[in-house]
Amino acid sequence: MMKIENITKSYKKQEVLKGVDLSCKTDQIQALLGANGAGKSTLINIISGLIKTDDGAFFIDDKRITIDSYKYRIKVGYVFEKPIYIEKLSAKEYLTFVAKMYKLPKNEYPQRIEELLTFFELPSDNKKYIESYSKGMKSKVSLAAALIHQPSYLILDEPFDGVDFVSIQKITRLFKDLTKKGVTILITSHQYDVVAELCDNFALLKAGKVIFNLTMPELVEKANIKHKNSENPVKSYLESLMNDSQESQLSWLK
Amino acid sequence: MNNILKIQIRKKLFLIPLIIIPFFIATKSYIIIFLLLQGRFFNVFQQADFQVHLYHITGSTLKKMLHSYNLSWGIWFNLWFILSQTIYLFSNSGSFQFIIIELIDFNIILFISFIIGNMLSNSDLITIKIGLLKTMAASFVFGTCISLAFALLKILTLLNTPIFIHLILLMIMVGIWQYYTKQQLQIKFIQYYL
Repeated sequence: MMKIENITKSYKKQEVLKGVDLSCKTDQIQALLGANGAGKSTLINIISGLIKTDDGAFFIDDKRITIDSYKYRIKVGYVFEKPIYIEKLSAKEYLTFVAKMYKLPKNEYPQRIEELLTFFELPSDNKKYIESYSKGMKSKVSLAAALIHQPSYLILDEPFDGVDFVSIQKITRLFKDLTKKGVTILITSHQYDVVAELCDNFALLKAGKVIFNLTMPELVEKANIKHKNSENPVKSYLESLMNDSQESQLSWLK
Repeated sequence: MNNILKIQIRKKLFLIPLIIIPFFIATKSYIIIFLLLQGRFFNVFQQADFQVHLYHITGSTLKKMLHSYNLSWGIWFNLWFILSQTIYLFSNSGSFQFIIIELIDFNIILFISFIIGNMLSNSDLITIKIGLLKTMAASFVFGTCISLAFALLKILTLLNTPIFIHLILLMIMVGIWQYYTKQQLQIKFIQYYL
């Protein structure tokens, strides 16, 4: 179980996170939704140990994770909003590099790499470097690196950025299979349809706070009350919560 | 280290210490190179040729990174310095022993640069918000230490100190570098490299 407890973060005088509480249950996929600038990536960076929190804590299996919790960090696979990869290496070379950093046994990682390259449809030769890959391929490299060490937890910030819909379907099936094997996943994404299909729980981060954390049936129930006549009540409900400002007119375009 | 060398070759970073050749042939000194390229030493994490977060999230210790990174640069610095010496020898006369002493002294300065550079890179200095002030402070510390070490080595050379004294000094520096990097477990201010 991953638990975020009262995390606060300010940059200069701006309070980005105002006491975020969130529990990600074991074997489940937790979605973290929010408009641009809601603080999702800041929260992901904090729980990944890349940024220090002003207050609050992050727990994995009831163990408080600090910036120094190396042993716990390797139980987690990460994908960041700005994907980490080495542009001057091929996917195969990069995955080998990552496997060595995780100290995976030499007799194990070559096969894992081959399987990951096949699964994500990435080039298995070393002719092209990651810098020449498309955005979607770079996201896939990042995802492959997050999975190589068989993590028990996945923290994924916009993992499907630029990924084609066929691959997204394949990856979502993989994530569902992983949860059946006991993996806990926290995911942020702006692709509503993907998240709706994939996740078990939906938390909405707004103005630096989690305003709800509901299961899909609970979300449907709430949405049906307020957006009964809409074609997709849940989507409309989320949209109304995420964007409460009036639509701009862009008068010069009309 | 193979991967770091590969990245440095592909990014053509290995060519950076090439500027040692004209400077060495013109002045017969190498200290200016260390002063010119000092940012390579005291900005290890910004200049690491890849995102250092990778070390953080994979639970890899910093000592592994510092070892590979320093040694890879050690290879390139030595490669170009030896080439400079060879070119110099062909165009000027000089004793072989003198050349060897100079190579040893060059490596002593190199390891001192690694030690000070690694220390500064992972020190509270990183938290200075004004970039210029941070660079000036690091540059002052690095430049002073390197210049002092260089002056001491020159005195030893002028006193015709035997080659084994230079070798012992080199081994001491390698030992200190090894000891210091082994103590380094994590990047203290990882948030500054986002």
